[in-house]
Order: sequence, then structure tokens, then C-alpha cells
Amino acid sequence: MPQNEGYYYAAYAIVAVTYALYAVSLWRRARALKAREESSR
Amino acid sequence: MPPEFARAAWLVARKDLAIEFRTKSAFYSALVFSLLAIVVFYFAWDPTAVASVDLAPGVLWVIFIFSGLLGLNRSFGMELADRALDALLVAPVPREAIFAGKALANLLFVMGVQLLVVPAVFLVYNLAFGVELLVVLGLALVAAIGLVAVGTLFSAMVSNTRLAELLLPMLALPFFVPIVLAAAQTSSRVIAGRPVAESLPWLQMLVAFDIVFVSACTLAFPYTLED
Amino acid sequence: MHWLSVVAGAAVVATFVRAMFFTPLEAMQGAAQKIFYVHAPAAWVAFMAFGLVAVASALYLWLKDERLDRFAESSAEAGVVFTTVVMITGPIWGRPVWGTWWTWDARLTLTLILWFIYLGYLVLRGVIEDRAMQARFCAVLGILGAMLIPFIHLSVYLFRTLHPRPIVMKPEAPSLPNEMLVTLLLAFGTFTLLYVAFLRARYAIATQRDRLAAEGR
Repeated sequence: MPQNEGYYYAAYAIVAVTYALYAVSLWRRARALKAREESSR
Repeated sequence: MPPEFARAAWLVARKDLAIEFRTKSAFYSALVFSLLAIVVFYFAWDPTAVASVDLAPGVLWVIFIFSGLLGLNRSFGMELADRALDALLVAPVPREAIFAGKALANLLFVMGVQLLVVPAVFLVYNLAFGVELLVVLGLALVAAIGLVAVGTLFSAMVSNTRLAELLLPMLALPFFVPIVLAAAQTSSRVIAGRPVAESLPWLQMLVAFDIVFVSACTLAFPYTLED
Repeated sequence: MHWLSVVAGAAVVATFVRAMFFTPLEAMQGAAQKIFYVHAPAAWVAFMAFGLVAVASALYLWLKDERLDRFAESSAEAGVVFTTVVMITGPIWGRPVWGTWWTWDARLTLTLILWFIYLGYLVLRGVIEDRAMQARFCAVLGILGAMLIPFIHLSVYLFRTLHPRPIVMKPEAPSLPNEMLVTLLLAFGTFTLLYVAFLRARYAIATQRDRLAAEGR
């Protein structure tokens, strides 16, 4: 069997990081909008 | 096609072409750009290393795309001055006819450039000036119809934005992929002396693309205008 | 935090755990074959998301309901995330298993073009300031983009059947043993759930942003 685990670790890490980064981006934008809403009341 | 529609489209096309002919600067720019590109590509892809029959089609269609984009950029740019587009919209002309007219003007612009550039490519790459030249010019016309349909629509959408010259290629190039592929595959076979019939599937796809996107872009055009 | 986000996040983690520790290795391709479990489901979501963008776009042009535009906007953003995952995992999988980083096969080429259409769509959104124009233009692009996909598919098909190409190592698609099939299906399900979670969050952002803008805040 070929020894290529490195590729699959890298791929899984990148996928997890990509999803996490997007989730963080969504969370930060939601927070910024909430701040805008509160401050303009 | 009802005669009033055709007449209206032709009037719009004539207006655009008249404006273009007054200075001809866009035409000359596109032409000079294409000829310079031929020179640059000639040195970038050495025809002593690879046969010119293999290089010429690629060069031809890349130049076709980028000179076409140069021409498309100006088609709605000219309406921005004095809000000329509003005047056009107030006229009793169906919106779709405005699109047809602008697309037609763009088509004539692109073909005008190609009529000079295609022979130039044949010359530089030492290809025979025979039936193949006429076939490739015909191919350019069919390809240009699709290019101009998509390009005119996207040009209408981006002309008002600050990044128009960057946005137009960005939006349009994915749509140009089937056009370029079909044209390059067909022309490379034709130039190599193969019968046109061998490229029939590509030609059929190209014609289908034209029909689908000319219709879709004509129908979509009114949505790109202000209410 | 919204319950859907928590559930989706947990589900994705569970999928990763199952794929990494509870799914057997494939003898021919080695451990790199496991990339398949994140690559193929992401591709499915990427195309589904764009299909929904196209449908929402067409409905928006017909019904003029702003919610449809916000849905399209959200689905496009979520979709581009999954498309990016496909574009990154594809070459990483291809290199050890096929011997090449890239091939112009139907799926990869389609996904690449889809990526560019998505990016164009998002850039266009960012550049058009007028909200109504933005909605209309993007709806047009969404529909035209969907119409382009079959032509790209046909192009690749013709290219491969009519064009001599170099031989590239390509493993036969194995019939998956049950454990691998379960992992794959689990991944399809959880990535779809993740998409829905992203969509909901992004839609909420769009709604609040538009509301604040309309109220002049």
C-alpha cells in the first residue's frame, strides 16, 4: 500500500480550516450588525 | 422578426457605428492591439520549436477574445456621456431592439477587426491563403455572434461601475470557454487539411450556444436597465 | 449561537472522526483515498447550492420578492466555500492517486468554471451599489451561469472523445464496501446540513443588513 497519509492529513486540515474560517466570518459579521443595531437605537 | 423590431435594431446599430466611425479610435486600438499581440505571441511561442499549424489556431482565438473584449467595453461606455441611454430608453423602441442593435454594432466591429487580423495570422504563421482562410473567417463570424451576445449584455451591467474593464472579462470569460474551444478545435483541424465534417460536433455546439445565448441575453437585457 | 450551527458543526466533526478512525483504508490508493469522503460531498453541495441560486434568481425576476434575492446571495456565498474546498482537495487527492495535480476531466473542469461564475457573481454583488440593480443583475448572472454549465459539460465530453489525450493513471471506481459507503453517505448528509447552517446564518445577516439600510441606520 502506498504511504501517502500526508496528503490526506493536509486535505482534512485545510477543509476544517476553510469551514471554520467561514463560520468565524459569519459570526463576526453578525456581531458587527448587532452592534450597529444597538448603537443606532 | 417583425419589421419594426428589425428597423429599430438597425437604427440603434447605425447610430453606434456612426459614432464609432467619427473617430475610429476604438477600431484602430483593437486592430493595433491585435497586431501587436501577434508579434508578442510569435516570440513567446517559437514556431521553430512547435509547428505553426499547431500554434496559429491558439494565437488566433486568444487574440479574438481579447480584442473582442476591447470592442465590447466601449459599447455602453458611449452612452454614459450626457445620459444618452435615458434618451434611448424614452424613445418608442422595444428594449430588446436596443440590445439587438448594440449587439449588431458590436458584431460588425469585431468582424471588421477579424477581417484584418485573421489574414495577418495566416501570413505570420505561413499558412496557405486558400479555402481554409474563408472557413476560419466564417468560423470567426459564428463565434463572434456568441461572444457579442454575452459580451453586450455584461457590458450593459458593468458599464456604470468603477471596475468595468476588469469586470467585463471576469464575468464573460467563463462563457467564452465553449466558444474558444469549439473554434480552436475546428480551426486547427481545418488548417491541418482535415475536412470540415470532422469538426461537425464542435460546430453544432457552437451554433447551439449562439442560439441559446442570443435568445437568453436578448430576453435578459431589459432587466439590466433601470425601471 | 443558533442550535442549527451547533448541530451542523458537531455532525461535521463526527463525520471527520468516522472517516479518519473508523473507516478502513483502501488497499490500492492508500490513505489518500480518504480525501474522497470530503471531496465528493463538497462537490455535490457546491452544485446544489448553485442550482438553488439559479432557481431563486429566476423566481426573483418573476416575483420580485426580495427574500428570494437574499436567499440567492446567501446560497452563492455558502456555495463558493464548498467549491473552494472541492478545488483544493481535488489536486491534493489527484497527485498521489492519479499521478497528476490536475486533469481536464468533466467534474474538475465543471467545478472550476462554477468557481469562476460564483466569484464573478460575488464580485458583481459587491460592485453594484444600488440594492435593486444588484438584485436584478445578479439574478441574470445566476440564470445565465446555470445555462452555461451544460455547454461546459458538452465541451469537455467532446474534447475527451474527439481529442487524443495522454494516458493518465486513473483508478477504477471500486464498488465501495459498506463501511466506506456509510462514511460517504454520512459526509453527504452532514455537509448538506452544514450548508443549511451557513445559509441560515448568512440569510439572517442579509435580512438585518437590508433592514438597517432601509431604516436609514
